[in-house]
Amino acid sequence: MRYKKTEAKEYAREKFVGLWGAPTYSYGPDGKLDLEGLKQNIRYYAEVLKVQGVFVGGFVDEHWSLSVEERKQAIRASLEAARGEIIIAPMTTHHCMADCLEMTRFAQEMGAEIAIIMNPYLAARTEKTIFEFFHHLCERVEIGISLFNSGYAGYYLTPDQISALADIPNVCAIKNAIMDVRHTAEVFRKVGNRLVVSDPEEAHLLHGVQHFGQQLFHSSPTLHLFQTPEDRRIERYFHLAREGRFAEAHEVYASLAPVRALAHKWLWEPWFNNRLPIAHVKYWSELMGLEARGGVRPPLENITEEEKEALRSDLESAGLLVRQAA
Amino acid sequence: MKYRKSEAKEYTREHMKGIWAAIPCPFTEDDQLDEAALRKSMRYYIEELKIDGFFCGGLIGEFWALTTEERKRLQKVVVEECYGKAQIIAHTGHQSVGEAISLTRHAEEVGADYAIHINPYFAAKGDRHVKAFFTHLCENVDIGVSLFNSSLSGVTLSPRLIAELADIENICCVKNAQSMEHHVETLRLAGEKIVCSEPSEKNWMINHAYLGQQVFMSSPEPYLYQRPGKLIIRDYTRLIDEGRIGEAKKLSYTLTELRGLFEKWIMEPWKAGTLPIAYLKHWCALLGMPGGGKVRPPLLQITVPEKEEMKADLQRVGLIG
Repeated sequence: MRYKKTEAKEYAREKFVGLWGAPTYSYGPDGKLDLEGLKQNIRYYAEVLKVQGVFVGGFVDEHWSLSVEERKQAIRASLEAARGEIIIAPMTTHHCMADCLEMTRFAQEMGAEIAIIMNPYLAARTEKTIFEFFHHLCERVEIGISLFNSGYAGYYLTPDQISALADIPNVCAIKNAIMDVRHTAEVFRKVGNRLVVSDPEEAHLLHGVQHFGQQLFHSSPTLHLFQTPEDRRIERYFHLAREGRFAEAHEVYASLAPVRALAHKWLWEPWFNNRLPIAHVKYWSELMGLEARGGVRPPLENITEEEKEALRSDLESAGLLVRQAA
Repeated sequence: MKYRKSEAKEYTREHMKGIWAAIPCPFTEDDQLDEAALRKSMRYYIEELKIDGFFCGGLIGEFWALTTEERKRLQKVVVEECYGKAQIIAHTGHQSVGEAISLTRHAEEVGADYAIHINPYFAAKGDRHVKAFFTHLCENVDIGVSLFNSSLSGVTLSPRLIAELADIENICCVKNAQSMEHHVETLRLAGEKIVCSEPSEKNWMINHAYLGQQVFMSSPEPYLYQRPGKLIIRDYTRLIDEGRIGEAKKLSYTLTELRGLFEKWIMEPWKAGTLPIAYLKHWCALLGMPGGGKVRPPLLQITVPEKEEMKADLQRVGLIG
């Protein structure tokens, strides 16, 4: 551990700055996790996109479909590939506390700097049991914990619940995937001095930096879906905004509107209407040069040939496939 | 396997009968699976309470808190205790379809009669996903698979979807933890294809006597209400089977106060979002049953005032001295 448990909040404030991506996992022809492909994706993020960190084992990686063993293998492979150059933030959520603890401790032992825990689901359904889940876990690990407020648990954490959780010593960050700027504003107000707060919606990022001093974009596949090696506009407007050059930042931000519209059409609209578009995220990722083979696992459905054609054509029209063509 | 995959529906129709219990999973003081208590409680259920079948590793069994290995061990122990004496339906629900297949194959291998899978949770959000999940699961196992229509999963199967899923070769049953309206419609659409069981004891009289429900599968009431030598659910079920409906009703009414306590301690907390497994386990402990110990996080333990209140409640209705 690079910091003591009691220093988690301080460490997060100092180190968790910048852009964190979310690479895809791929599967081999035998259906097994392709760890080499994952390592390539981590290197792409580190060397080409030059981000500060990546979230692994989340939604775009179909975490629910993976066994505990597969999830641990992916954590190990990601950390190896990162070589300490970028932060690896693995999600170690599981509704079984023993499995959750096992993966979180594994991440800690392997040298991860933070573990991400989504809102617990199934058994934790009241304020008390939700708190108990985090409390029990955090008491038994040293590593800093990022909350991940996702409605896929069947509920959202309220700003007051987040504030109560923020008093746990090693809870140090939150990915507030609410898509409601008012909620995130309230979270910034209530816990912004204790947790590193991040709205993971790219469309909200400039607003977050400008109005809430958001220091971390935690975390999103848009960093590899919207950007090419030569054209890293999210990075540009983020840094411009961090330097206070808001007019320039807004200009760069606005230029991404066509790509944002495509993401809305292909990804976010289905995502927030209970049709997780992971097959589409993966195909888009492949077109951008990432390793994302092997389709998706049941119950998700694979992308059709017609959809592939249409998505590819959309991305070409938006001028995104330069790298691929080159 | 006692039947071929293609015979799953027929076998279930013929054999899945009687009063079934959904059983808790006992833990030791140091939070391990308490196999000794589990075996002892199984013997009590079978020998003293004459229970016909067991749903193990489900919501009552805190499946969300068990590792895959623990779930497999639980299946094995329960089957060892039941084999030849009672039937077993092993819950193999998992968010990962790969893990669900592994758990279901294990249930098949150790000799469970059937497997049961809660509505796929987390990623499966629409009917197409739910069908894809069950189709993939059932293609990869031979054992008869029952649906478990619990909305706790975040998904509710409509009667129409149940009827569609019932066309899968080895889908053989549904435990339909829904309203009576839903159950009646499910019986209409799927009742001829698969065994449909609505799992509330308070509705069992009507379901068995008038709606042709062949099995009470499954809930904790069989061991929470019944005592050795005083098997009221079993007795009124027998009276129904003998056509003595009036007598059955009269006997069933004697459970009214207990049903009120079940509502108070189990169903009301459940509906309010507190899974009442700690209460259920303490109820078992008050009856002197083994395995009435702790629950796993994130569930909270029963408090001392709650323990006292429950004891007074059970004494008042004469369930305990």
